Amino acid sequence: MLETVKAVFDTFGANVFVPVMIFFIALILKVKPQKAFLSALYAGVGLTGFTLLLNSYTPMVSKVIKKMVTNTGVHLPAFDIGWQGASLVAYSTQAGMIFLVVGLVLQTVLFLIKWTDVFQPSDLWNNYSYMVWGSMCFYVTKNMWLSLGLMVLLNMYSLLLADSIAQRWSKYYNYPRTTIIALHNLEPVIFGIIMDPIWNLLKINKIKLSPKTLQKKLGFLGEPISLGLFLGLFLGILGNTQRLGQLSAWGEIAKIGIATSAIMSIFPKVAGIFAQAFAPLSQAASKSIRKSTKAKDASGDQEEKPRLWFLGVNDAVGFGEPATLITGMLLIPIMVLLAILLPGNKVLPVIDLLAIPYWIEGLIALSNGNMVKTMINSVIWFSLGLYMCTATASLFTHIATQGAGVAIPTAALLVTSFNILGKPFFGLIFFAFLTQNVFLILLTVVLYFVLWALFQKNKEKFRTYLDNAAAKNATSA
Amino acid sequence: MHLNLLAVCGSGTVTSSMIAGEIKEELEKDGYDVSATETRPTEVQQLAQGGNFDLIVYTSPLPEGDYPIPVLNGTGLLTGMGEDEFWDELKATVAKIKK
Repeated sequence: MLETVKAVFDTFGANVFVPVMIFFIALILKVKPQKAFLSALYAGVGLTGFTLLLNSYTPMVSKVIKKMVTNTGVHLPAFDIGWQGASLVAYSTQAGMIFLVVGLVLQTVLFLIKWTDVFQPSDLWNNYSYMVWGSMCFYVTKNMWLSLGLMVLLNMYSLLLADSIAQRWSKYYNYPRTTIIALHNLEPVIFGIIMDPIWNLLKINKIKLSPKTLQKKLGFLGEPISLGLFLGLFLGILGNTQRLGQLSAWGEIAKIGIATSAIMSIFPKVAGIFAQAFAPLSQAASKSIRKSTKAKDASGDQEEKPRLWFLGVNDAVGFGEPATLITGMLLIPIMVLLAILLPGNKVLPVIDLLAIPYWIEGLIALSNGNMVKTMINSVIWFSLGLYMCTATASLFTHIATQGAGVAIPTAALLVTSFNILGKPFFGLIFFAFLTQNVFLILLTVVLYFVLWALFQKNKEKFRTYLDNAAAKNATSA
Repeated sequence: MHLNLLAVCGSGTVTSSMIAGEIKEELEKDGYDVSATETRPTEVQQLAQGGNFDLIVYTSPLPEGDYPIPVLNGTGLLTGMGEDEFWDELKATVAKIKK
């Protein structure tokens, strides 16, 4: 069966195959044919737009990066193409396509059998995170079952994380019975939960920092246009340090500045077109689950306690919260500096710098908006993330060039996504699967079941513990 | 009647496109022709003051500031909590917009 899928896939390519898949999934979810057709077309258009955009930008930036690497001591050949790029790569691979269906079924079933309290299909879009890891696993091992197993396990880990912080997140961001669910934005929570008591010993919970006063001064950092220009100019200067006296050098510096600014502002628009393909699917899924629970509540089954559950939503709903946004912006220059200073790091964070507020939502909620604590957690964990990006960059570059057809001049440049691949814990699980060592793989599976069982037994206690821990922080308001 | 909607989410990408699509569809039933622009919280004020838009619907908290046009919280469309109220509010707001 897999061979036939592969043959069809190779003939038509992702830009045709993905829309067809989306069309049929939409029909199964009872979306009207006309709407299903349009959303399918959006997927094809988004994928094509992405390839066009990246194929004109990468030759430019790779030239500059190559010079930067040879002329200066700054050895950062892995360019961060952002989560938008990673999502489009993920959806263009075979493993990704298969998981589009498997993930939807898995998440629905796990919710219905009460394995988890979180309903995930309402944030279908973010499934690409599992697909990235799964596609890389398939690229190396050529074993689809193993890759599927990895994606399923990662999905279950992220559901467990969402389960544990759902109550905290929904309280802090004030969206009742709602939680974030994306793997890449939940992962830092692991570190946050473990380190919290230690930071409190150091009295970091008592430090107040007010986001509002900083917001006005730092606003320009969060704008794709200005941040893109600065990073581009910076890159251009690093690439031309030895000929700054020549006019042509400044020509290149200015050009790469504008080009980077352009890619940072146009990329989200393309991703937006692509995302519209998933809107009817997510809506259909979340409407059906809301209807079915409403019906249950209305039927007045008094004997059964109403089930406490959380609806998975896109992280966008927390992005603009002041402490989240400002901490994220403060981390932008810090992470660029660390990328240059950390020995052995090969990643130049660029496009995903703007996405940092998403990744810290869990940490902000855990610390009740304590910006200093969140910043310390982030600096450590995201530095480890840079190393995970470094370790996976060549693999990701392969699936980007082969799966998504991005033309990358070989050897000159690697690509990565700081957001999606900079996940130390999930990265380790990925590497365990890559070894194909039965013992190591079993270890990651057993660890999941142990943690899951512990959580199920102490669910209430653990959620209360997190709420109490959050309350120990001095609030900035 | 033609309406210019400013849809806001974290990156002006995924969620804003989704809610814009939903709002377009719903208002079309009432005879409105809606065109939407997706944007980020930090860009809203500037765009709104530019004068080309009729209303703002957001799913990510907006910075404090002066917004010369109606601002509606659209998170109900994602969470299902207060969704019906959102539609009522939207239709009442839209009915008041005169061109």
